[in-house]
Amino acid sequence: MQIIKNREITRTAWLPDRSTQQANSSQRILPLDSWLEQLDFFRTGERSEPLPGVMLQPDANPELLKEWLTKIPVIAINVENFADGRVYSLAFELRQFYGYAAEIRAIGAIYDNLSMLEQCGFDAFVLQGGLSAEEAIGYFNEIEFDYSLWKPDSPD
Amino acid sequence: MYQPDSPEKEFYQSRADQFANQVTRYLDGILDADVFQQLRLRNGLYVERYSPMIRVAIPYGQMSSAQLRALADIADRYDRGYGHFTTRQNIQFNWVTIEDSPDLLRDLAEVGMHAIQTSGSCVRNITTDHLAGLSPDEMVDPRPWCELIRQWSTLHPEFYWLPRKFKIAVSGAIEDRAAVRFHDIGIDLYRGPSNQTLARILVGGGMGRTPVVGKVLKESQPAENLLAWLQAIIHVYNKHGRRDNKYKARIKILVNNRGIDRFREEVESVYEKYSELQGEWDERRFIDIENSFARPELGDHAIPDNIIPVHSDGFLKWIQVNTEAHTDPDRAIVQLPLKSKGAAPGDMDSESMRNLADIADYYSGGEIRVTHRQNLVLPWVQKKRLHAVWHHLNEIRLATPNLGMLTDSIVCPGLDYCSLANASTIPVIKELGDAIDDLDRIHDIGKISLKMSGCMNACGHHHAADIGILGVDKKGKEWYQITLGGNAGKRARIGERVGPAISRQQIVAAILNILDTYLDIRESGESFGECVRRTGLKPYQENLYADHKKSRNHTDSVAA
Repeated sequence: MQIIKNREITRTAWLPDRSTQQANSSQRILPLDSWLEQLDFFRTGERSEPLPGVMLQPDANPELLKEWLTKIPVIAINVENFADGRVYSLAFELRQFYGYAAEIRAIGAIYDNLSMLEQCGFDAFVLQGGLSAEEAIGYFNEIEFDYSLWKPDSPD
Repeated sequence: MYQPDSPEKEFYQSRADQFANQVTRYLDGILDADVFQQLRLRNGLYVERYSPMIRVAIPYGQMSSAQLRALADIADRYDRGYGHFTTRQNIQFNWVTIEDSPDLLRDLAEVGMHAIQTSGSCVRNITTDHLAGLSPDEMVDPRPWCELIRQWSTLHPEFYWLPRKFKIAVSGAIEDRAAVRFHDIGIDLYRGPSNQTLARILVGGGMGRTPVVGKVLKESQPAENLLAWLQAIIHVYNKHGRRDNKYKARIKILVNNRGIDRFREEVESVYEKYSELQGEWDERRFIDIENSFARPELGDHAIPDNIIPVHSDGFLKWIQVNTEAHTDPDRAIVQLPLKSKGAAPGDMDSESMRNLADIADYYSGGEIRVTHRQNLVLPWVQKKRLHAVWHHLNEIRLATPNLGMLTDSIVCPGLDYCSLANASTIPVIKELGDAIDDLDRIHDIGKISLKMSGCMNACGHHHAADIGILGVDKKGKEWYQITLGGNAGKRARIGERVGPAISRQQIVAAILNILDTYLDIRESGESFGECVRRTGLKPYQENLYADHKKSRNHTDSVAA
């Protein structure tokens, strides 16, 4: 599946569960409920392969993922409506409050919000409807100025 | 005063370019109308009753003469030669087109102005005391703090899509002239025992259909921590504010549902995280901002020959009513009520704007301010120039001595412009002005606030007025509810409804009736607010509805 990752157009093997037809079925992204169910197998040591990715809705509580965050390969967030501000706070919390370092993916019709989503911690984007990814890439750079007053101090 | 540097101007240009692309995609049918609506609102563009309207930010109500001239040019080029100053210290152009709006924004950017976040569900223009940095009762100058909050809130990526609009006001004086207690977040700045700047943070105040006085979230917080507190408050609101019902989406509803104590606990736990992330307070950056507000030096211009100081009654009355004491004993604060007879409150034509820009250059360090009462201020006038200033202001009809008086009323645009309005406002105020066209009578009534909104969104702040008037729609007809005894200051109070709504035909007579009652029962020196607190509404109700009771069977002028 085509994806924008770190501002480049590339492909990803990690797919939401419903669209998975692929051979490597371990690279799945499960809805939070199913993901939590699967978790029991990993807790008991019954399964040892990498954790599946998890798909969150805007109202998800990241506290539920807390103890697994170093092991989750991808967190996808359903941005059904880009004007639902909760998704921006959710990504910010995952990055800044919980220190989640792997992929945070936004899925939706989000062309005009790529830059803000990125500033909140999203690094991967699956675009739905409308523009091509090639055109959308240009939208990251529309405004390069910021006052740097909201940004956390960088660790280095 | 703070003026944007060239990187900021380029930023505003790139923002205008971005919007131009969005407009093109919308007009080409690529961008859906509902998506475009969200994007255009954050660029100040509304689609109103008769025409699109654009609202331009005047950060905390301060602008330069060059900016005022640019607004005059915009009024001529894109509108019908005038603009409308609002209760949130902005200016609106009521007759623009969607197609032209990107060019309008580019023209604004040339002089460091913009329309970013002047509408939509996001942090709006920061407002403050229009006498900031001037008034003898000031403890802390709020202007640098406003500028800091403005920079922080501009395109803040986490808080660009809030459940509803979000208004922040800052005050640093004994008297609250910024209606801090009627904002989503209100900030009082004051001095601690060792002269440090402290903040009292209030949340959940507001007008609208559910008027609420803000509640104290924190007292005595070092002002350096303000941004971390703002982050924490808005983070909690962004996550938990209601998004399913726009009438219950303001932060006041969340605060009321949670209760202030539980809301405070939530904010405090998030605050800890943000303050860790934020790192050291950047003192140097703040001092740079502070320095940009240094008092302007005024040149020692000669007074033009044709102005001969004559201490006429008109001049003395103007001094008494329209000027105020300044921290600098050699200067005065000059107020310009935009309420001349026959004009819509807050309206100004382009020629007056240019003339005023010249006056400001000559006598006030090139600075002009907008007040939340829809008036303008010349902040730096030397006392020895007052007569010349009065003379010039008279020439452009900006010297009517009615500041804070009955005819200096706050009025939203109402049915004449706004698609939300239930009733007209401007024609009512014009009629009232005609009915009471006697400055002596207006001065006899004295200081009084009359505020009027055309619908319950309450843009005219009618809840916080001595006499508040709210337009309502009853079966397609215009009616008005009257409230008395509201107050926007530190003794914040929501006005009480006096009785059944009054018809369009009767509303001016009803206001006159209330004024007569006040003149009748007031004690010597007693203000309208004090009088209402002493007597309650009863005497007003008795007089107002007496006639109606008698003629109830013959008239439909009082609704149930």
